[in-house]
Formats: sequence, C-alpha cells, structure tokens
Amino acid sequence: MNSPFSFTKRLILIFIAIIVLVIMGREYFLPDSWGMYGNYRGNAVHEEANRSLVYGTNNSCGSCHEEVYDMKRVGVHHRLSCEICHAPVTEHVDGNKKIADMPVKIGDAQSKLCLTCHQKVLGRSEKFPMIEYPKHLEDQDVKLTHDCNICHTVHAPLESMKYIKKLRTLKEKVQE
Amino acid sequence: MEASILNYVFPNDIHAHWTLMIVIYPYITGVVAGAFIVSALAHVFHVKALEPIAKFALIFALSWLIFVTAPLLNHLGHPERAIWMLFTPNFSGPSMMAGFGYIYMAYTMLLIFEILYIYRSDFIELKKTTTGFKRVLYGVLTLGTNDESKKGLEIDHKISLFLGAVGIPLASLLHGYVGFIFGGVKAVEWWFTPLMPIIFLLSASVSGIAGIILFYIIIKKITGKISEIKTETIITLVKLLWAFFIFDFVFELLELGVHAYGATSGWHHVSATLNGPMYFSFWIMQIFVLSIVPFFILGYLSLAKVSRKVLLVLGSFVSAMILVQVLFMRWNVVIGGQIMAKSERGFASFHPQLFEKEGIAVTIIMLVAPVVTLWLLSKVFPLWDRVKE
Amino acid sequence: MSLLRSFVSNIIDFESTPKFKAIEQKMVDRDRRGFIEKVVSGSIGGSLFLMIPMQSSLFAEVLGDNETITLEENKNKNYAFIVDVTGCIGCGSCCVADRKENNVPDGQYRTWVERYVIDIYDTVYVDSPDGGENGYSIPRDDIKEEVKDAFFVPKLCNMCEEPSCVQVCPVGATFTSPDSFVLIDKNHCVACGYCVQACPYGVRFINERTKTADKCTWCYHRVRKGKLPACVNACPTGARKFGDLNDPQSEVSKIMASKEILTVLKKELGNEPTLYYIGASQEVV
Repeated sequence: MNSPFSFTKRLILIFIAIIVLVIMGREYFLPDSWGMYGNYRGNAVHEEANRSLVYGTNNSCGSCHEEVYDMKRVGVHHRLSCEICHAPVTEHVDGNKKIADMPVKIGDAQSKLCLTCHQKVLGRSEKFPMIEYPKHLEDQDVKLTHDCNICHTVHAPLESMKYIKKLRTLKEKVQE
Repeated sequence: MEASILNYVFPNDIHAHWTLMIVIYPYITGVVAGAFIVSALAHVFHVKALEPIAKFALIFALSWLIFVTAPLLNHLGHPERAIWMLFTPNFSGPSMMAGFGYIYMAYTMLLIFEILYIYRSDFIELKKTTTGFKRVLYGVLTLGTNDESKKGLEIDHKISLFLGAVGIPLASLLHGYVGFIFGGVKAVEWWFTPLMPIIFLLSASVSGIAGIILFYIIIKKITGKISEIKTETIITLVKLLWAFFIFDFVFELLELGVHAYGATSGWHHVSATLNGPMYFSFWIMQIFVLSIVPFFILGYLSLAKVSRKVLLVLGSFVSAMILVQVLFMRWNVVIGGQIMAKSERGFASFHPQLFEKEGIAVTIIMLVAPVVTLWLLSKVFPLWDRVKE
Repeated sequence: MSLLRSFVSNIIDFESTPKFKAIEQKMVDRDRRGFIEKVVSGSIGGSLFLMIPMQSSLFAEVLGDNETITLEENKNKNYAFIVDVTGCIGCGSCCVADRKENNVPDGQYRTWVERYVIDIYDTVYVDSPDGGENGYSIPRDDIKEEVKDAFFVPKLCNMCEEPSCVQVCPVGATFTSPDSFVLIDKNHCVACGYCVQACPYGVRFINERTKTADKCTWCYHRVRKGKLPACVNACPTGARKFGDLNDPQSEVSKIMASKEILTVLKKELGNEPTLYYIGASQEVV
C-alpha cells in the first residue's frame, strides 16, 4: 500500500525528468557556433560569406581578353556587364583553366538581345538611346537582313559609327 | 473587382503560403481551449449543472490536443527540425510562434496530469475488475499506486482543482498566442489589431462549448443513453455558448466597425477584399448564415421555454453551425489576410486541391482523427460517472 | 547625337581623358584603304576590334573565392543600396544575373522589376510578367485609355534596420549579422513561413528546392569578396547603385550628400529600410 502522497511524488519526478530531458537535449543538439554573434548560429554568417561566386566582374574578363576589354571600356557600352550578353565567367573558366566556350549570340539572336534594352518602349527614359525595329534599318538605309553588329560592333557600338558615317560621305563623294 | 488588368500582386505573393493546415491548427487548439474552459467551470467554479460533463470535457480536450501538432508538422518544410522551437526559441523578437514549444508542452503536461488525478480513483477500481493489457495500462496510468485512502482522494481533488485553475490561463495562452501570431503582423492590415488574441480566444471558447454540446448529445444518442442527459446541463451549456458567442461576435464586428469608420488606405484594401473575393465566405457564410442565424436560435433556446426534444435537436444543430462558423472564421482570417495582397493593388489566389500535401483530404483526416481518438480514449477513460440509481 | 554624348559623358568622363584620345587617333591612323574596302563590302563585321591597338592589361584580376574582407572589416562599412527609378529601362538583366548567381528556382524571385503605367485619368496599372526577367520589350496591350506616364521599379530586399522577419522567426534562422545584413541560416530554418507573412515588401519566399525561407541578401557573398551585388554589376544604366556610405568618394555617399530626394517603401510601418529610391513617385508601393 502506498502513502497518499506517492502518486504526487511520482508525478513530480516525471515532471522533473521531462525538464531535465529538454535541458540535456538542448545541450546536446545546440550547434557549437550558436550565440557567437547573437541568438543565431554564428557559422551561418561565414557559410554565406564563403558561398562561391557565379558571376565575376568585367575585370575578370579583361584579365584575359584585353583587347575587347580596352575597346569596350572606352565606348558607350563600358558599363555593360560582359557576362550578361555572354554567360557567367564561372561557366567559362575554372581557376585559370578554360572549361567551355563562351556563348556568343549572332544574327537574329543578337539583334533580339540588343533590342532587349534598346527597343523603344514606353517607360524608358527619353535620354536613353532607343530605336524602333525594323524601322531603324529602313531609316538608316541599311539592308533589312543586317544584324546590329554589322554597323555597331557591339563592344563599342558608336565607335564604328563615326567611321561608317565618314565612309558614307566618302562613298557618296566617290559616286558623284 | 471587374477589371483584372488592375490586379497586381508581388511575384512571390501570388499564392497563399499559409493554407489549410494553418486554418485548422488554430481550429484544433481552439476546441481544446474551449473544452477545457467548460471543464474548468464545472470543476473549479463548481457550476453544478456542468458536473456530468466535466470528465467528458477533459477527454474531449485531450483527443483534440493529441492532433494539435499534426497540421503544423505537415506544413513545415523541415518538420525534422521542429525541435528547434524548443531548443532555440527566439525570445528576443519575441517571436510568438516560439512560444509554441513551451506552451504546448506545459499545457499537455497539465492536461494529462489533471486527467490522471481525476481518474486515479476510477482506475484503481477498474484495475480490480480488468485483466491483461488493460490492467497493465491502468497500472501505468496510476503510476503504480493503489492508495484509496480518504487523505489520498482529498489530495487528488485539491491538486486537480489547482491544475484546473492554473489550466484556465494556460489554455487561454495556448490559444491566445495564436491570435497574437496574427495580430502582431503589421504587414497584413487584416490581421494587425490588438483585438486579435481576444477574438481568437473567444471564438475558441465558442468552438469548445459547441463541440461539447454536439458530441455529448450525439454520443448519448448513439449509445442509447439519451435519457441520461440532464436538461439542466444542456440549457446551461447553451446559455454559456450564447454568452460567449455574443462577446465573440461583438468583438469581431467592433474590429471591423472601427476600421471601417477610420477608413485608412489600409482599410480600403481590406474592404475591397471582403466585398470582393471574400464576399461569400465572410458576409454570407461567417456573418449571416453562421453568426446572425445561430445568434437568434441560441437566444430562442436560452430565453424561451422549449421542450426537451426541441432543445436537444435544435441545440445540436446550432452547435454544429457554430463549429462550422469557427472554421469559416479561421479560414477568413488566414486565407483572407493573404488574398489581400501586400502590393495593395490586387488579390492573391488560393485554390485548395483534394490530393496535395496540405490539401482537402488531409484536412478532413486531421479533423476526423480527434473524433476517432475520442472513441478510442473512451475505451480507457470512462467518459461519464456511473449513473446513480 | 549631341544629346547622346552628354548622356554618355554624364556616366563617364573617360572620353575626355588623353588615353581615350590616343586610342581614337590610333584607330584613325590605321591602314585606311584596307579598312574602307572592308567596311564598304560589309564584311568587316565584328572584327573591327582587331584594328584597335593592344593595350597592356590594366590590372590582373583573380576570381578568388576566399573572403577578402573579414567580418571585422565589414562591420566598419555602412552599405547603402540606392535604386534610381528614372534610370531603369526594364531590361531584366538584373533578374537574369540574380537567378544565376543565387540559384533561384523558376517562378520565385529574389529581385524583380515592376512596370507602372499611369493613364490620363490617374489609374495606375502595375504588372511584372516573369518578374521582368525577360525584359519589357512587349508593351501592355490591355490599356484602353491614353497613357500619361510609365516607369520601371526594381524591387529587392529592403534590408531593414528593424526587420519584421527577424522579429517573428521562431527558431532564430533569420537574423541580422554583425555587419548589418539580414541573412537566413538554411541549415536551421524549418520553413514555417512566418517571415514570409511578416515581410511587408513580399521579398521573402520558401525556396522550393531547399525547402527553407530565402530572400535577396544584397549578394552578401559577393560583397564580402569586395564585389558588387550581381544585379548592380549587371545593370547597364547604373540604376542600381551599391556602395559604402563611410567612403565619401562612393556614388552612394555623393547622392546622400546631394539634394537628391530619396524615399523608402512603406515608411509608416517603421521597418527602417536601408534600400533607398530616387524618383519613386507616390504610386510606388
């Protein structure tokens, strides 16, 4: 026969056991870096900081492709990220070794890419250079099968224009 | 809203993230809290008319409590990490959801302990008359004690009273914190109100009381013992339901009313949602069919002299209506708050599927399971005291 | 043409430098006849660049993956992100770069660009097809009224100083780092979705691959390596600007010091965002 208090005593024991279990569980499972900087796992900051890059910068491309880099840097496309028109540098180079060719858009695909920015679209600032396509080709008296690169040399789009204009006036003079 | 060309929702916001599982979670904890309050009224406040269902209310609460974590674990992207709520709760926010681990654990212990105290003398009796597995089970549930002395029973009674009393604020916390989870989110105008914990708690009480009325009548009917129901018990429960329901409804309307009066730009978006995609579920179902109509039925049952038959039939019918009303209320809060997109220019969408991870089928299973569990528990815990001849 | 030159020279003043003039002169001095023939026949194509003289590499760049800025050093910086709505052309390059840099699943967005169109009756139409990732070359065809104004608004994490998301996370999986970046611990997040609900700006989502919460981190992993966030790097017009306010020479410092009017989104909520907008009119939410 138990005492009238035995049930309560046993229940209190169970209660304490549960609390102890929770405390022990926390001690066991808590990650080491918890509380390092605050109420979170400190290593998470370092893990995020150490995540590998996918894109580089234009300088990454310039470290090998000097001529294009120099040419682009002085033109109106200097701010354009090489990797946006091509692909992320890590898809092309691993460390110092080339692992794949960079995709290069040509023909219609290229014109489409140019138009992504340069198409005359409502909402774009009037100060930004825009054209209507294919009206632009007609206006410039250029073959409708031409892609943008033929006149514009995409890496420095306005540089060639100077010479093309000079050549045209030259051509007209020659034809006279 | 006709012109869908005006509709705009942030790209990550297009579909509701908190779906059926989050609708039924507060529903289940609400029933638990409400049922516990009924039992506490009987036990702690000695409301004589409710004494026949005091034990039943506790077991009813337990059968729903067992399933409280189910919808949440189903919803989590990493349920295996759920233990972090217990080990690394964010108390510096403080995140209201972080309270879940401790509040749920504390309340579960309290409810089980109270049930063990209340049933101890019953189990010691039953130990004498059962054999095999059941006998062992009763032995475990009495923690191996056999004391039936007067002092022992007195201690049982005193402590269960104490637990019942402590249980009232704890049950309120179990459900009140859920209200705070929504009420503290300033990003969602429909949720951001200090009345949210109160509204949730009141509708929880309502769902618990209604659940007890409905299942009390149904169980007694099925077991052919309908005559054992005291009219006094049902009348008291119905009046209790009406009173709590009035408070619940008034607070809900007050919240709406003050916001509508203030007419801030946030309110304009809320009202567009309530009058648009939420029109049927809010105005028609929650307010008219399931609030105004039950209000009058409950009023009639409480104030007029009705026959026992009408009381039992209409009482169970209106309780069922209230149970559905509370489900609609949870739906309107959880889903409505997300449909009312953060872009302030449109509505997100929510289309529950029958067979998906958080779909309709799973929801039905999770709402039926507590009822099945109640039946199973009744095999171990006698729901009613033996009728004194 | 002159307008363009002034536009260009607003961005760079490189053209007036001697280096640029030297390159220009060299191009002109090259083999004229051969050049003219090739241009007239239309065959020179993209090989024009061959005409440009070799320059010694201006610097060597190593795409190192190691932390180049320690946490302590980074704490001394005070980063700001400024978005110039008037400069955004809705090309979507930022969205493309972000998706690849951060491995964002399709249909989910760490950053996106919205198109606002306002008609003459002041009705505002907003959309963001695919988050603007494919650009906005195709205009809206469903607006019947005459249009008064239109612009593009990039959206990303506002990196709040009083973040609602950090406040509500139940397990401490999202936090403000010691160098003031709001980050997510993917190994700790349970994906309850509370932070997604709490963010007023809709920038958080549950990543369907990792099954954890996810959001724009201002490319913390790039910033710690001394690089710009991927979207800033990709932006062709410089509408997205990122820099250290403790560096008086940075573009963001200069803007902050100027009379330029900067706004933040949903200021009344008190989250104290550190993402600033130039030119975001009152329609922007």
